Amino acid sequence: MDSASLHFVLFGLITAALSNLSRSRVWRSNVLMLATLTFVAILAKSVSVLIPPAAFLLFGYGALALRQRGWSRGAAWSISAVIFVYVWLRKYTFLPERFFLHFPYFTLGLSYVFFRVLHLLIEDGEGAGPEEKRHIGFVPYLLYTLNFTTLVSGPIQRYDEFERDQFAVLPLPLGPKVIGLQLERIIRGFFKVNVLAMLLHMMQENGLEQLPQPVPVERKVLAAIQLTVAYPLFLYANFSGYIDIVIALARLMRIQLPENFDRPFSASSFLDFWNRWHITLSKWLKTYVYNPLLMVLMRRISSSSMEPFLGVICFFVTFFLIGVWHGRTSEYIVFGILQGAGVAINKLWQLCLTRIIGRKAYKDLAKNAIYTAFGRGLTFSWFAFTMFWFWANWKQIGTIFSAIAVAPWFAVWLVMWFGTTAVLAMWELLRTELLKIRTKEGPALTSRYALVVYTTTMAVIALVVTVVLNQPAPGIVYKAF
Amino acid sequence: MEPTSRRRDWVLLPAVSILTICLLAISAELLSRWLYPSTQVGLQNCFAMDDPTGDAAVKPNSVCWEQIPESSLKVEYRFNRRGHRAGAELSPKPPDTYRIVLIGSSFTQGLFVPREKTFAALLPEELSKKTGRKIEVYNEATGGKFRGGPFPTQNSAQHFDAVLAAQPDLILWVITPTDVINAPSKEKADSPHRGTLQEDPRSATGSAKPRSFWSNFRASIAKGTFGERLKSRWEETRTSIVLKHLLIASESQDEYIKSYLRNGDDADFLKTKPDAKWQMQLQYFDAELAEITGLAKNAGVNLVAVFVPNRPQAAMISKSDWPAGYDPFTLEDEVRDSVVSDGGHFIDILPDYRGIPSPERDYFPVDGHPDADGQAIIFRFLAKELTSGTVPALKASTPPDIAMQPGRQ
Repeated sequence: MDSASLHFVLFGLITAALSNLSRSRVWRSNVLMLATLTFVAILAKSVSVLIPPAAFLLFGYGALALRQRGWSRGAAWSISAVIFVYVWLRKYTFLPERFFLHFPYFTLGLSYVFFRVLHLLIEDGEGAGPEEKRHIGFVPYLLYTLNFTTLVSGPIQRYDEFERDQFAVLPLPLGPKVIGLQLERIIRGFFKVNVLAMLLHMMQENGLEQLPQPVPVERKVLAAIQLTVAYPLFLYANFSGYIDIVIALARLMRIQLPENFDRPFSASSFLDFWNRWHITLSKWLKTYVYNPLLMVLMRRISSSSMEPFLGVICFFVTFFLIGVWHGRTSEYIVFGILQGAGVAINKLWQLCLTRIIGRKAYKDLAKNAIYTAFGRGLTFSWFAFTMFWFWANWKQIGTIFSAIAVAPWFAVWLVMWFGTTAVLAMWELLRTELLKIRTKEGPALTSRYALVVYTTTMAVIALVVTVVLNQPAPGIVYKAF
Repeated sequence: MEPTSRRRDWVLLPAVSILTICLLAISAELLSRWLYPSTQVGLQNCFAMDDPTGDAAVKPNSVCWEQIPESSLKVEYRFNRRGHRAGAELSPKPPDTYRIVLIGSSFTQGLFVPREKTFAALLPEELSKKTGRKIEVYNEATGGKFRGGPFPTQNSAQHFDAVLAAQPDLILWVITPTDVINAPSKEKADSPHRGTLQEDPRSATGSAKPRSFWSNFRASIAKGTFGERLKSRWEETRTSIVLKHLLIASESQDEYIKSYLRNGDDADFLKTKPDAKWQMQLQYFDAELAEITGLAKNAGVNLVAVFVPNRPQAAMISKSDWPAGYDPFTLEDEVRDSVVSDGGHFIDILPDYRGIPSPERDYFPVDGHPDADGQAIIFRFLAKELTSGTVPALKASTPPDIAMQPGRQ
């Protein structure tokens, strides 16, 4: 059962239907637990591969239980130990090979379990007085960390939000309108993963195949553009499509998961981009890395003129960690540096420009349509460029960059920037104009009739491609992390 | 939302959905037919569409035209007095002329490709130039189950006197994976019910009284064949062909190989260890092979066989990398061993495909036959290997043309 397959969707829908047989939280929790265990059992195929992740979960719960019993002095140790065990289980290459477990085991969703466990450990000791302290039992802990809708690739939900929906006496309402909207979202997600992502993946593969061929330089430049542009779009369709499916399935089970994407390619700066892309991950890191780091630096460096620049350093560190988190190899270190550099330079640009032209002039400039459009194009181009270190290994990166000389690569870069600036600006304009067409109930394009038309269209195309033509789509990229 | 409007939506929204599906299906089919036209002019003049034996599938002295959706060319099929797409009538062999008679199936007949662009039409001039002697090529291939008889190899064996009547100095037998896949068992080949062309479900071969849509529908549900009927109806639509064409044509070589190998049965012949079913199929083909090689031997005519790859095989060879458990050379090795042990000769063109970047692009993606570029590649490799010394009479009088680089013309 692949994570965005028809089987997965059917599994989720059956679970949601069973879950809604009763509003009792015990019933709903039992159904969620049973579905999660079934899901893990289907994916794991043997019990032995589950031993290391199960031990990790138990270790996390042990640390949490100790903290809940007032062992606050060991907080730093328990958090460090959880991080170390995670790094060890993920086999990060900076650790000596001989220390790793040399048998296959289940790591699917381990990163997301790690984020949730760490969140519980940190939040449990933060600020709350003894009367506010909550006790998290083993079953709620398992339900939260292993919830099958968020296990594989997130989104990373906070425990209080999960608890609010899952254990509510009065669960979230579920009427025909909500059901209709969730089914529409499932179909949209399924279409994105199985049709759009599949086509974009083909486009990327073709670009990759053409680049080293003995063809004229113009064709190589076109192949390089195709390769560079296709991957971020593919990743968006692949990941956001999966997130659409799981958010809708969870909502049908009366759980409101946090959004993970907010039209990221509309972002006019790299900082804004990371507010719209993998939102729950960047929020998590901002909460648990950026903010504490900034506080520490501000306490140590008291100069008020330096204060804004501390943010630049913290942004670099946070987004470097985001990059590094994605993988175990040295390519991801470069990916992290490029992400960190992107946000840090963006922040620095904002600070310098504000100092040079003044706060009001900068605000006006940031609202300027042409400035915004070029910013959007630059953001996309930079993200697309950094993606080479995300999906390719050093050998492939070498082949890609040695396929054409520096000057044609510069041309690729310029064409990308100006091209995406124009295309994304036109897209934004078109979207704005179309949304202006309104009926009494709101924009015509988001009316239930319009939704039915394009949901039906997407469903038919997706079914033809996946079921009739049997065309497989690439798996969810983020399940590897 | 008002209650009336809410009630109305229970009817209206499903109706909108059904209407969308209908519009989508109709517009996709119309658009596919407009962008990928297909024509068949006078096909019934050339082929005996409802001949139950299949023996007289090609009508002598006939001409017809066909364009498949995947091709931009409207191709003429002109058959001579003997029912061969040979370009000319068979005449007595002039002295000091070396005549090659080609036997094989649709690849050799040049299905869906203009005759002048087939390797059969291109070979004589190139061979004559290379050998310094006059070479004629007479093409006796039949279109296989596609156009002109169900079993080309069987056909060649049964009508071997016609092959010999062409006074060959050499019989060149072009074998494809499809020939092995379609090799019939003795019982199947002798059966009076063997098909002719690709079966036309609309042909009047069933009961005299046409059955209504509903009786067909009920019968297929009762027999449990509804799914199959639906599938076959879908596969007849232009939308299906166009979608498959676009998907396959857009795949990179790597993706194409992976998705082809995933498709089970079709890829069996590429496995390093063929299963029992496939072993049985090889035995059927071996029997045919032994029969033809024996007939040639008895007639004292030199027989040379060559194996031409199909689309996935060409892609795998070109990529020089394939998943464990598969090998694009396995079937050729089997065929070569059989030909040689039966006393025939074999020329090997498969390794030449290593030098071509994406040879699969030179085949029609859905149909699988080589297009004009694919035919040109086969022609170049055949010309090279035939004159390399395997056939002493055709040994090149000048060293092999090193300027002849693999790739598209």
